[in-house]
Amino acid sequence: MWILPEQKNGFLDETQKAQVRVLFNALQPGDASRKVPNAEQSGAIHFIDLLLARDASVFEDIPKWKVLYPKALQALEEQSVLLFSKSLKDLTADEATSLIAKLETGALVNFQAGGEKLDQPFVFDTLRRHCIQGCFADTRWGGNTNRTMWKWFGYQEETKELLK
Amino acid sequence: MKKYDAIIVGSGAGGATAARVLTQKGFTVAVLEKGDWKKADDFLPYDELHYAEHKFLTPNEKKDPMIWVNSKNEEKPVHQWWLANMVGGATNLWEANLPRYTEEDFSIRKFMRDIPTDTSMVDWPWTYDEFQPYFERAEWEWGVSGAANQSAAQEKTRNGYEYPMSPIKPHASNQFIQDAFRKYGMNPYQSPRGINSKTFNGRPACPYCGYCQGFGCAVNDRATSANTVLYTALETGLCDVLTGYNATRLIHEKGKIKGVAYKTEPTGAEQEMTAPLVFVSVQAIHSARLFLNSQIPDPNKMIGHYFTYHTKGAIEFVFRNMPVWGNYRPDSVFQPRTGLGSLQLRDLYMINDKNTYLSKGGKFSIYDPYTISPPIKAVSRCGYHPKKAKNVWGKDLVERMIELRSYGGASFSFTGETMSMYDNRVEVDAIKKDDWGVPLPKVFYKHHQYDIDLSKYALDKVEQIMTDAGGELRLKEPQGLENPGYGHNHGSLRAGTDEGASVLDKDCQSWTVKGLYVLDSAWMPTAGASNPTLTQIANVYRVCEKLNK
Repeated sequence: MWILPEQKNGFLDETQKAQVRVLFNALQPGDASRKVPNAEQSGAIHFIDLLLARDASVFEDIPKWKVLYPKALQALEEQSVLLFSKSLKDLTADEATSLIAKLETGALVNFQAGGEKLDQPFVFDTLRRHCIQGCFADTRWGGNTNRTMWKWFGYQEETKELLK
Repeated sequence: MKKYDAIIVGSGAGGATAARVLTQKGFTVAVLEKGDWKKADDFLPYDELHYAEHKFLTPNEKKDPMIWVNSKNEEKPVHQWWLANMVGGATNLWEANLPRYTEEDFSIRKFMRDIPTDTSMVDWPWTYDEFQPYFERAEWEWGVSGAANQSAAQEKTRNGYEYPMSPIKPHASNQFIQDAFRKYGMNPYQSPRGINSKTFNGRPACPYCGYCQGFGCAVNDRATSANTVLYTALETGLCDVLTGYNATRLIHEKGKIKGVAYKTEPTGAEQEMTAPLVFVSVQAIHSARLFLNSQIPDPNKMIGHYFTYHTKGAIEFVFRNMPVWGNYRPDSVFQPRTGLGSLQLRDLYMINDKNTYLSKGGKFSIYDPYTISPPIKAVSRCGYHPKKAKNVWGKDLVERMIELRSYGGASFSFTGETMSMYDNRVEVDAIKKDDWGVPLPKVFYKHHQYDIDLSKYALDKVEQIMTDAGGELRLKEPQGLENPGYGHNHGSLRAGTDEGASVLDKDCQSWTVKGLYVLDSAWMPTAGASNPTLTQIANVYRVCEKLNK
């Protein structure tokens, strides 16, 4: 049986976590009026924090992501200031959505970190993939807190309405 | 070193079936397998992130890729998700969809009109009737559940024939889908599957856990070569499965096979094992790679050429007029909400429509995008709007997630005929090698306009019928020019009766190296239009039953 090593410490600092929170909640915003948990409520930020702290023995791409995330968040921070005159962590949902829409299509001008140009669609794809994984993966990975999204989605049991 | 009558390279569908037949006939065989044995325990816990998203059971994307050359002649490394280096090969990870190829596949020139002149669509040198008894043996020895005579479009079986087991539980959407198509004179039917619907041959019935394609079956209800024919071969005492043996080269001399060169460590020395018979079955790309790396004489420049992937297409709908299919009641006659898709639509196998030049078509496997997939796959691959079908996110994603959990859905996966062309081919890279020092395969592939038109035509037909039934389109992905790789691969070592136009003879033996046989789908002269493995297995019975010690 494959056993996932325990991972207690995270990888991201508080500012980075706040940045990821804005991005993930724009990627999977949920809908409170219809009782759909968003990425944060699903534990997706905790998921990526722990995933990035793991090593290549868990999955070979993790070291690559450890390098990518700080750079991508720095580049998105710079774009946020440029486009909205505020920090990434302070963006409204609409502003974050606008930023990600540009990232998806590679429309951000001079998207770079420390002089290194970053591949915008790749960054978008990575963030989106991790956001969905954080919402829907098995809880052992640190997301999908208390099987929140499985209960809402109706995976392995009937669907439940979760938000008040 | 122990001497064997035959060496079999690869322990998947072809290799293991060969071991079964040859040991039954008294041959001693060594089965060389690059990977190792897997137990049910190796497939647990069912964790979608680990096994599917992180691709734990398939070849390493960076160390062991193939090279794809696209239509712009750009080279890209590709993850070979359709391979599994372990005893049983890719049959450990398949969905075990096991239809037969039929007369329309064997004798294509009889059925296909207006064959494009820049293609090579040849008749197979065998008939469906010749294959019929071997199909039956394959279905019984591998344990296929299904039912004959459900639909006029279904594969024809011998009068009175029945599959070893009845089909697996129907999906709760079946009746709705069948009714919708019957209005148009079509009749989807339950597919033959290498999945037990009851205890069979010592293996249990499927509990419908939902972890099928891409996952190992820890319950052991899904047939693999390891739990069926290879198991039987081992019981004879005449078969050794040598794990960790990576065949690097075929040894031949003066037109005869001498044996196989192999390594047991990536950096280790090449060693040799000799035998008068060698059977290769490592999937069509890698069999061609092995031939090329072994300098098998190729006077007509045929090795690797006429390689085919099936023409594909995907289309997905939501039915806002229907509630989500099924429930979790333990006594339900339907699959629970995490089961398999179960219907096949074969009424477009031949196209009789005066409005199109298309004639040979294909078939659809029908699924529900919600209930048949683990959740990450269901959500990350869903479509929302035909113009924004991929990478759905934001409010669109939430709307689609709500749809998925609220309404019935249907997704259709097309497997269609493919035009065989000389320039679609497998080569080996002159520089790039895998970890074992073996040159990587390089695949050049472009789909013919026929393939592209066929996929669009078939998807349009389904769209018309499903829209009429109240469906709203959510994703539509017809085949394009490019194909970076696919699990159904064939034709790279064509078999035929003309030595000048084929690599293998009618019995899948090399024309230029006697005693060397190929038993994966590389021998298929054309692609056909169904999942190929049952036909590949049937051919192993046909070839190996003729051999005598």
